[in-house]
Order: sequence, then structure tokens, then C-alpha cells
Amino acid sequence: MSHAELMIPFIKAHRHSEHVALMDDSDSLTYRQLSEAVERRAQNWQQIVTLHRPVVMMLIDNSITSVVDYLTALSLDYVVLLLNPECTLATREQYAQALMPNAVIGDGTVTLLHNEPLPTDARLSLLLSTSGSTGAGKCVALSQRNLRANCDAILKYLPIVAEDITLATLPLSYSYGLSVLHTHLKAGATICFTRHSVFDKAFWEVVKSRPVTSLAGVPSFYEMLLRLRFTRMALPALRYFTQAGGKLAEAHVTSLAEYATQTDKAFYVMYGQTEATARMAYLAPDKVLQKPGAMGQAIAGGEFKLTGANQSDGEGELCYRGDNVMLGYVADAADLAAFSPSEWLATGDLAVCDAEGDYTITGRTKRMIKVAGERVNLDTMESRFSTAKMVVRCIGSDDKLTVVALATQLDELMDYINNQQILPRRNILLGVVEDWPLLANGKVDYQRLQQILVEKTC
Amino acid sequence: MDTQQQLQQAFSDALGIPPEKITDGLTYNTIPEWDSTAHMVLIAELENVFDVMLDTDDIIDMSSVAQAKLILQKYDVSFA
Repeated sequence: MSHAELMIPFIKAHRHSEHVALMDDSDSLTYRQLSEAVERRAQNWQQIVTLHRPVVMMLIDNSITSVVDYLTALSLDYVVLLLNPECTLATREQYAQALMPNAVIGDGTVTLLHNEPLPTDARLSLLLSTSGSTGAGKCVALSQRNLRANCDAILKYLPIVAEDITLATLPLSYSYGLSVLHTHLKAGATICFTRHSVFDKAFWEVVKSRPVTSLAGVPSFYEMLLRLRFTRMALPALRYFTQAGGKLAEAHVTSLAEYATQTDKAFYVMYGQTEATARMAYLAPDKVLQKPGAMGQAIAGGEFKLTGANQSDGEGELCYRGDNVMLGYVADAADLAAFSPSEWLATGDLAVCDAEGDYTITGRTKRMIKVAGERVNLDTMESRFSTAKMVVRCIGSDDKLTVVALATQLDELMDYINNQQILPRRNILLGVVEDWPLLANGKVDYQRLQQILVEKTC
Repeated sequence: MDTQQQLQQAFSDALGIPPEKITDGLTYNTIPEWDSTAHMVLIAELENVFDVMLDTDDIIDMSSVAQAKLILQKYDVSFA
């Protein structure tokens, strides 16, 4: 087995290439060197992990060594749970207890935990967390087929070429960040990492000197770029930039689209979910100015439909089908054994479709908000407080979680919020009510609760 | 409120930490509260409070409270 040629996903076609694959602030690796590094690491790991298809927990950061780790694990057909190294120790422990991984991988090293084989569905390859760095949410289970299908579909519409240098600022533990990695590896392009943030001079030196030809980001990234007067920067090498991971304000979309038009670049507004590996749709760049709220049409091989649509405005729940739809969710080790994927993925997003077939997201069916691009399920958040013996109701909008308590528990709640890293403090608002507004069925009336709080602040 | 107090209040609001913790030596990325997202909120707050429009270079150079004062002085905000 160890002498058979390793099938390294994405980079097979470039394994003898002297073109740079990965680059960070101090090092770089060509495709040939990357292939060799993966082969060496695979040989090392096979000495330590003798089990067939072990379940491994991998801490992946945006570094050359993490990419080698990741490609090694995929090549060896491991079942890989990718975690953001910024997630807390408590979160890691929760995942370790729930999934009972055979080994932990990070920074080029594999640490064996136990040799008990775990039954896993033959299609299962990758597990991605749905909660980013905030808590141990259920995982999305993906197959190699999912990864390939989504990678190929993205390459059909994004103009990625081997000469490209992209700057990977999104975490690789996040499906959108991972899709940037996959597509660029497949195209034989260069992926560049930097530890600097957009507010560091060094970041812009990297952008100008490499020079970076494409950027990808979530709404908060573009809000920062606009704050930095991105649209006044001269970045002649930058060919295009993409946005996904939530809805960017239309005014911002328009500013970016105008900048793109004036400077002969392309701006891609896209839509996706981890449940669909990453990408489900994109808006043709030449339509962005005209439809700044839309996210466009399904990618190649994908299809949308709206279910339960209103007669009046046509709004319904957006459903998607395609080869990139996940195998299913995983909450614990028992779920790894078998999946029965559903053909249609119900996205939980409400949408409308216009006469040209372009979709616009209009709301959500679930009680969920996004904070800095990461999902926060309001019901899950409530149970987290209730575990700490606090009765709260969570409401809010993107980037603003409102935690509502009864006046009697306010002090205790303040203490808890200030001492537990639930979310950045700036994203949390506190609300107080005398008693809970209830619906006829005895459940909390969240709409009324929202109204009460709005009236109070007026 | 004098400009010094306004500055402290702006930092305090943007970073979500008490005004007394805002000292000249406080530096970007050295405390969890002052990360890149907070920096963006901070820039918006400073631009509002002092009614200025900062350049890209100034936003990037604003890496400490002391530095913020120096930069704002270029925009005719004086600190006693």
C-alpha cells in the first residue's frame, strides 16, 4: 500500500509542476513540492495510524502545513472533521466526546487517541461544523463526490486560471474558504496566506507585491474594505472579487459593483451553504448593478425551486438539488455509520424569483441570525443559557443578538455574559421584560417580544 | 466633554471596554476587544464624533490610542 501512488485530490494533474501552489508570509511550495510533502506525511502517518478509515479531528488554520495535513488526510481516505483552531477547548472536547475520533491532527502531527474502528458510511469524507468558532454545533457530512462536484461547478463560472494568485483570508475550516482552496488547487493557481488583517499595512503590501489577482470575502470583510476606501485603491492586478456568506447591504453591493465597472474588474455576488458543500448560486457580474439585492441562478448541475410559495408575491422556501448536496447531518459517532441523503436541500431561506430567473433572498424560515458571518441559532443559544440555569429568550438580527431576561435575573445574566465567551460583547444587547408575552398555545410570542423591546428603546 | 474625553468615549463605545482602560499605550490587536471588526467600528465612531473622513493610510496607521491622537491632529482635532 505504501508504495502505491497516492491519489492526492485536486492536484493530481499538477504534481510535477514547478508553479507555486501555496505561499505564506515567509515560505512557498510548488505543486511538485506539495505533492512530495503530502506523500512524506502520508508515509509517516501510516506508521502511527494503522486503522482503515480512521475518524480524525483536524485543526486547520490558513497555513501551508495545514493544507499538507488536509490533503494527506483526504489522500489516505480518512474521515476528517475540520475545526477552526480558534474554537475553544470546551468545543473541542464536546466534539471529541460526541464523535470519538481515533486521532487528532494539527500542525503536521497526528496524535492517536484510540484504535477502536468506528463504522462509517463509505461515501463519508469530510465533516464541517455549522457553527464556525462559536460552540460545538452539529456537523455537515460531505463526500468526495460532493467536493469534486462543487469544485468543478465553481470552476465553470469563476475565471480562475493557473496564473492567478488569490489571497485566502477566509478560514479553511469554513466551507467558503475551503472552496477557494479546492478550486485554486484544481486550476493549478497560487493560494497565498497572510497572518495580517486588512487593517495592517503589511496586508496591502502582500496584495500589491504578489500581486493578488482575486479576493473572496463575507459581508464583514467587504464592510471593512469599504471603510478602508477600497473603491479608491489602485489595484491593477486585481481581476475579480467574490462575496458570499450572507447578504451584503445593497448600497455596499452597488459601491463595489461601480468600482468593478470603473476599474475593469468583475464582482461576483454568490449564494451558498455548507449543506451544499459551499456554492449554490451566483449572479452574473454584469447584472450586479441592476440587481444589487439578488444572488442569481443555480450553478452548473444545480437547480432551485421554491416550496410553499405565496400567491401574492411568490415568496417561498428556497430548495436546491445537485451533486453538491450533503450526505446529511452528524451529531454523534452513531450518525457516521449510514446516511440517506435527501435529493432536495431545504435551505431555510425564503426567496423570490424574477422574470429572468434570478433569485433574491428575502428572509429565513428558522430562528437564526449570523454574527460576523457565522450562524447563531437562537433556540440553541437559549438552551445554552438554560444549561447555566438562566431563563432567557434570544431574538435579534444579523450581528446583534438580543438576550432578553426577566428583571429578577438581570445581574446574574450580565455577569454570565461578561465572563463567558459567548459572542463578542459588541454583538450582544440585553433586554428586560416584566413577564414573557405568550401565544395562545403557551409558547413565547417572539414577535410581540421584539415589539416590546423596540417600544422600550423608543 | 473635551476632545480627550470624546476620544476615550469613542474608543470605549467601539471596543466595549470602560473609558478608564483607554490609555495612550493601548494598541491594536493586543487585546481581544480590539480586533479587526472592532477597528472598523472604531473608525466609524471616530469619523462620526470628530466629523472627519479618514484616508486609507490613516486608518491603517491608527494602531494605538496615541497614534489616533496624532492622526486626528492632522484633521485639525487638537488634544490638550
